[in-house]
Amino acid sequence: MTHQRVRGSSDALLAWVCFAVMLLALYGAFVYAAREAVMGDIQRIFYVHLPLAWVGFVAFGHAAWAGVQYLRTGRREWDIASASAAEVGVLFATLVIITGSLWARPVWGTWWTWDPQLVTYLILWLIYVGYLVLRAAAGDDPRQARFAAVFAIVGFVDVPLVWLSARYLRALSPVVFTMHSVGLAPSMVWALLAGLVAWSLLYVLLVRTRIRLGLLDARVQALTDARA
Amino acid sequence: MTYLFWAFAVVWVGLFVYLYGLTQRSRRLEHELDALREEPRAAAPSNGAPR
Repeated sequence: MTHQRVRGSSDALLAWVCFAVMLLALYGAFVYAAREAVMGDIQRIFYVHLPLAWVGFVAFGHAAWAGVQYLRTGRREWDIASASAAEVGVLFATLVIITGSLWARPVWGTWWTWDPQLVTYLILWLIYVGYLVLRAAAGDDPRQARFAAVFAIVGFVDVPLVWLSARYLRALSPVVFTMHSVGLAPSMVWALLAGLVAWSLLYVLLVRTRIRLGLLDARVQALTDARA
Repeated sequence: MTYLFWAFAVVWVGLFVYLYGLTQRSRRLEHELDALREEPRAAAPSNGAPR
């Protein structure tokens, strides 16, 4: 009971910190960051698009890592963690595709183009949507859960491909960060950093909530099976 | 400006829809858990003597 209370209060604290940083990030995106000279205000989409993409990659990495742990230990908690991270990752990746499309329309004149980075990102999204379908069908069958874990790990291979395609395959997407420079004004960098912190905190909050839900589901399932 | 508005609107609406879904799933599971906990009590015979 005490443990639950501590966890509840730490989640509440995390939620308040996340809320405050999110307000700061929105202020950074709409007010503090300088107006981009060429694209104008539409470039401000970038302050939500890039953090979502980054945290989406982290989520898929988390899903793959939890998948490895599940294969190693066979503990259901890791399977739940993997599915939870993938679910939040797919949510973020979906928002990345939509916001990217809304940015591309006025800037490139099209909603979608078969650019290498966009295609590899779409493949990544499809892989993890497939994973979620597979995971939902697996239920508590350990054999299918192991297969889903392998799927999550193999799917993560696409993440470096998305990253590298923007740099080495003449992709249309702008490359902001390179090894030697950051192609942004200082106010833009601060707005972006605030966005990164805010969305990372939100990811932690969402994934913790989702894991708790998964554990509750497993408990209900175990009790139902015991009664049957 | 329209695209900027829609981009942020889609993000927040998507997020709230997901959170709403999580809340609903959580409520349903808690009800199920309560029902499963109540079941043995309801099924157990009363220990009082028949009147």
